Amino acid sequence: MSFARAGADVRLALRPDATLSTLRDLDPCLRYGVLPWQRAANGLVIAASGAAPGRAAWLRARFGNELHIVAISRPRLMRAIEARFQTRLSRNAVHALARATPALSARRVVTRGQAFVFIAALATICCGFALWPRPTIGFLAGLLTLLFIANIAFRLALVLIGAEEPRRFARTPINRDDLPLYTVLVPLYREANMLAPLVHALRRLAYPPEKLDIKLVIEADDHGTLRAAMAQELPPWFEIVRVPPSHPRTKPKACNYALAFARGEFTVIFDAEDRPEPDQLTRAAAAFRALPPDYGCLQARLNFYNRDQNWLTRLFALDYALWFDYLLPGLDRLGVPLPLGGTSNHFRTAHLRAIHGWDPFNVTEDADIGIRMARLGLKVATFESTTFEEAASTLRAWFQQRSRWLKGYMQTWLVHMRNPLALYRHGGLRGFIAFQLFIAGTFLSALSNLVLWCAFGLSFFVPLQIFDGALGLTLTHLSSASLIAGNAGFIYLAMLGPYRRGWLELVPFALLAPVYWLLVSAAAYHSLAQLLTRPFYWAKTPHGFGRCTPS
Amino acid sequence: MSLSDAPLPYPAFRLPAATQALLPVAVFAVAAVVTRNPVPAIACAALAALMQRDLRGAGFTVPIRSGVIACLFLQSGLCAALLGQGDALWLAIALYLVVSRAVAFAALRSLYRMIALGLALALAQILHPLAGVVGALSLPLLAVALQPEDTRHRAGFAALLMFIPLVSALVLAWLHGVAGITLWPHVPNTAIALLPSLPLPWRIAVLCCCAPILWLGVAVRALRNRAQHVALGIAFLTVLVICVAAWRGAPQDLSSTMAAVAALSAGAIAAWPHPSRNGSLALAASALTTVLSWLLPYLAAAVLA
Repeated sequence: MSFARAGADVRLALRPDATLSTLRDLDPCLRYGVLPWQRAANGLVIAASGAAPGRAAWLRARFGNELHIVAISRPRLMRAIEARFQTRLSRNAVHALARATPALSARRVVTRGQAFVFIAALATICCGFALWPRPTIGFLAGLLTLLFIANIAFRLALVLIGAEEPRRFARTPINRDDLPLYTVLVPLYREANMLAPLVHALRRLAYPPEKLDIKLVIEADDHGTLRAAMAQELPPWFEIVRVPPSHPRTKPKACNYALAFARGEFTVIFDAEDRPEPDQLTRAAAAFRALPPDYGCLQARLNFYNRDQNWLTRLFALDYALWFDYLLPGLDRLGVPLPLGGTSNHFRTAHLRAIHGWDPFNVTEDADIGIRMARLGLKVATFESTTFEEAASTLRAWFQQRSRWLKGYMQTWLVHMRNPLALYRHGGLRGFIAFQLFIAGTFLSALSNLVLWCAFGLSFFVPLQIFDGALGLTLTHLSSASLIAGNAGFIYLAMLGPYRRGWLELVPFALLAPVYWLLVSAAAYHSLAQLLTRPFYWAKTPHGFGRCTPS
Repeated sequence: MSLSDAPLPYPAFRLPAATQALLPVAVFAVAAVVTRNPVPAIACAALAALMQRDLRGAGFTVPIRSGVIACLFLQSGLCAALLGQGDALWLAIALYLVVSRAVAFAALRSLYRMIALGLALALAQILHPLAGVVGALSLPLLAVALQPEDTRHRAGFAALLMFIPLVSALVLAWLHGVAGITLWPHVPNTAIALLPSLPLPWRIAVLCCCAPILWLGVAVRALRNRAQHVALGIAFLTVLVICVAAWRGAPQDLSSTMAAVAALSAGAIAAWPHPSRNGSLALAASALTTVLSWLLPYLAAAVLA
């Protein structure tokens, strides 16, 4: 084995020979910072960056003894590795999950069996309307009311369960030397304006830089963001991963692609606008150390730094506070499948790879991966650390984002309900019920909210024959009761949301929760239409308009 | 180290957890025998269970809390309620719920306790009309007494506190007005009078003479904390509401007041500081309260009449 300096070696002027390595070599290549480059007359030219223990042994075992190690800069090596493996990795990023477990991939929106069930149900309802209109309406109204109230009751119960003292992980002090290598994936798309604050926030992470593997994951054709990233003078623990353009153009696909380059024992996802608490990685590492190895993921809490910007951001903050401070911890305590929230999901990298990463066809890949992990026997927990994000501050941006989330919940429900028996076997009765109430309940309550408002309005202001007589009275009372109870429930839940954080100044805005839920309802109908027409369309939420709320 | 801080020279007497149910069961049995009606007996057992839970949570030992609860059930108001038709019993339960939840929330501002206080205020409206009025009047008192220090948070806190009682009031009004449901079917229009009929001013004067009973429970350990202020405030409002109700011709009389006082005393005792040191004093105060609840009304009536 011989060594040479990069500048002095002309052999690196050529492109790497693709026949020298296979996809299986990617992980060791990244770990040891090497790439087999060219065949030479007297052996193999290996490009290597920095020093890595165990590298020589692996190279000898893999490629024999006739090796010429040539030093190369880390960025150039990374670009070469990407170029060498990108076609296969890009294909894997899109199809790995669908190939390995097609039943758990959202690539197919509705299976034949599901389509049959939906059509049969629709036909039955239509027949009911034609033959027995009043009983059918009565039955449907009762069903809707039941769904609506069950969803709110379940959420109230989750708040009570989640309000218990959060689980304190044994704070086993981890020495700086014992901290694991941590990969931070930050998918970016058309977010050049967010680069500077993002890099600032990531630099504030209280984690040894030599143990950080931060990857800015940027679409290769997103030249604006790429240029902005390169203009940032990134420190050596930052790397740029260029994702080759392919469809579907979603965040999970970009993350899957970048996951192949992750070197850390743990991997976390942050968004461009995220500002994680500086000790979040240390806390997560300590929590992972304290938990058994079957815990595959830890979810940090999320909230907004621009919550006081306008009425919408305040209501959104109430919604998020309820979700991340009470509902998800409640699900965690119940020990049922937990749909992860957008960012700050900390994974054991090996587990994440074993389950083929995220579903690139699901537009709420985070919710799906939480459920999928539970079904595959991995546990998910929440832990106490907050990432502050930017709330969508315009109605249009909020509507797009909410539509995508609801569409993703519909996709997730459809995927996991392809085989309800299997879901029941994996999650148990409690998990199965919780899945129905939390995942289906989220979009069904949003869909039924508008229907109930309409029924309520019609019964009072439009003289229809259907509202006459005993059935009409029952319908009126049902819709009124579910509206009053439901909206009172929405308001109270929203009021409770900020209690843990002590943001009581937001509580009066909870009185606007019925308006907020009407908007959610409208977004639910939009998402339903989009599920039928553009199921994999990822409506990008624009960022960079938030005004920070002083803490 | 003062004498009261000194550790006990013997281990504290503790009973197994299963025995916690014995006291409510015993109360149920006695009440069932006395009233020959399971509903007030169940209500008494529920009240005893609640009191026991709170006194245990406060740190009182089993003998002390059994003694305190026994003394409170022997007070003139609750005895009269058991012998009568249970009207004052519902008032006592409702007021106990309000005062104990308010005191608990004042001691620790957890979300559970906030929700429990809201539910107690709502339940008070359902259980007894006078308790509902006391609860409604207590809302501003609680909102002010328990308000956060940060002025930006006060409106939010008040909204959070008032939401459940307001919604339940609206629901009750809707049930009564639109659905025509009778409210408080369990509250009869008559009540057992402890005393022979007295003119109204005398009755109010007798009420005022009973103040030491309440004082024993609420303030004997000095008004040291916010929880005690809350208990005293609710007690004052209760007496005021019953006086006004009596003035306006409501049938609730002295037995209701005495039953309410018994419940409030129990709620206040649960908020005493340092229960481990004050157990004997709590028991003595309860016993004295019981004696005074029988003596004072008659003495005051005799003197005033």
